[in-house]
Amino acid sequence: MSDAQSAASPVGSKDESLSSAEPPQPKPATWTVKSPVEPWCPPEVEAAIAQVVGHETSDRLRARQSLVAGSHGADVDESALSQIYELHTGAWRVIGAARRGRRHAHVGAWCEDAVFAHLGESRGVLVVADGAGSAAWSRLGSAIAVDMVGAALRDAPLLDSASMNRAIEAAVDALRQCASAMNVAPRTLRTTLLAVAWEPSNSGGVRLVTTQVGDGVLVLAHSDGRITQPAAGDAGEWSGEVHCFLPDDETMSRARAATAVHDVADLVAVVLVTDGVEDALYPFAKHAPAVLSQLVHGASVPLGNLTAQPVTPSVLASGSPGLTLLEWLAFEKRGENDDRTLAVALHHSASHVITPWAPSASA
Amino acid sequence: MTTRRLPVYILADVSGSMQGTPIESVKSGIRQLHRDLLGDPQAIESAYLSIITFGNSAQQTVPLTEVAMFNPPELTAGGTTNFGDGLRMLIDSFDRELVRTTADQKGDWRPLVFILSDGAPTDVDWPMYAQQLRERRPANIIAVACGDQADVNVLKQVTENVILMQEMSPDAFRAFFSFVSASVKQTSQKVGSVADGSAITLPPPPPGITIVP
Repeated sequence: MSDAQSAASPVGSKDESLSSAEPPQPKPATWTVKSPVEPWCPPEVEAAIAQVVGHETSDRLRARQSLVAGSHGADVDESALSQIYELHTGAWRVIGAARRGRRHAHVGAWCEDAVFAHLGESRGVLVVADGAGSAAWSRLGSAIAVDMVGAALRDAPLLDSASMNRAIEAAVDALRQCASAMNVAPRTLRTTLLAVAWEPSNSGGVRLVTTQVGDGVLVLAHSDGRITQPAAGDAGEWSGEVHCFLPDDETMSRARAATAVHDVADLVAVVLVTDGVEDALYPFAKHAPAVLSQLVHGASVPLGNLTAQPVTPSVLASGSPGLTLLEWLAFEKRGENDDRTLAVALHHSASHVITPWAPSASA
Repeated sequence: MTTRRLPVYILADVSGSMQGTPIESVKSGIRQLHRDLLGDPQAIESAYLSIITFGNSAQQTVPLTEVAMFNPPELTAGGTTNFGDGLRMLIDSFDRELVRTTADQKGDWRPLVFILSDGAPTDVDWPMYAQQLRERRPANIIAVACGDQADVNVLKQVTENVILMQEMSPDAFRAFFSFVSASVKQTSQKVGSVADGSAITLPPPPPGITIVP
């Protein structure tokens, strides 16, 4: 197990611009970065899960396990611990990344977020999930959930509410059966979930089906600059209070209430984020235009009220858009050290429809 | 406010029976808690501490203050056990100091409250405030009954999370404040738990401290 001082070396810190009239800031927290101590999925757990989830998901989990097994080096490579997707067709580009938060890195724990992406000739699918911090196996819960829902949406004959709800139901059933096979309570696999699938509509626009269980945000960006949010995230009076996770009993009633079908004539982008991004950039729908602008045109100045943010190039110009997104996710904000996942689908028109962001335009 | 805080309130009995070793142990325990949290980066970035005391009346000795700026207070013991005024001050502090989630702003984390008492209330108003706290559930409250004179049944009317510290020795207080520190760290690590009012998960209590069922 390696142990190093915080690996992030942000630039553009806002601290530099503090005036002398402001009170002195307390000494900042010292974060360390440690490789995960436990195996991501022990062999006996993998064997139990394999009986339930089928070959495809099982193979994906095994592939992830072998990928992360090599991450116990002297230098912690966060990209090896992260999930990254980068796919493109003529019409769409899809990029997704799940980055381990500083809280988990400091104690040598795994990232509990997961992301799934698929981009076919006509259909695209994005699913993100955030395993509950209080659940012992939530990293597996989120991974199983995104894979089951993603594969079901990819293979569904039609994109409608019923397909989405069947996909969620398949994930809930799988999580409960996995818990049984692992001999643990279903709540130990708890996870949130956000999903979208889209394809060309008969009217010439884009037909989407979306859903959400728990917190996080899914937004649609339109060519006139509007941002729409199909469903409200699960929130309470206090921060971080989610009322329902997969596979709780209420999951299907929550999912059915949130599932919606949209026919959008002017869709430019779809963005899904877990609460690690949402909470730092809250309310996310307000910050979404600036986030999209940074992704499309590059980031040079910290967004909103972030403490610091790495300078990153445009994901469209980058040779490694997934790694660029992973670097973008390394922004800093005091107290916000959760795992972070962002998945984005960008229409080919995005590069000229989305305009560069200037700090004065930020909230 | 741009930082989401984990508010931690310590509501300490400073009545006459706490004079001597007990009050010195509470002061030393608060210093120990503060030192301990200064070693935890998530606590430095999110935990905020407040000390409220109650004797003849209640006072907020330290308002909600971030860990790095917190100064452990001087405490003196004396007078009666006006538990009701302590609970009233706690509710009042919530109303003045805490930020709830709105459409434009993420609120604080659900507060953690530790109540220490070694006796029984001498006022008559405490049941009204206990009922408010129990029904409104504005915080995760852990009450510790210190020694064999503490009234466990009174504390049970404020919260279901009551622990019993059999002795009032310096070692017992030290163990209790280690438990407080572990609870704060665990809560700031395990954020994202449910809001349905179910009991919070506490770290295992140290030797000499038991959870009252």
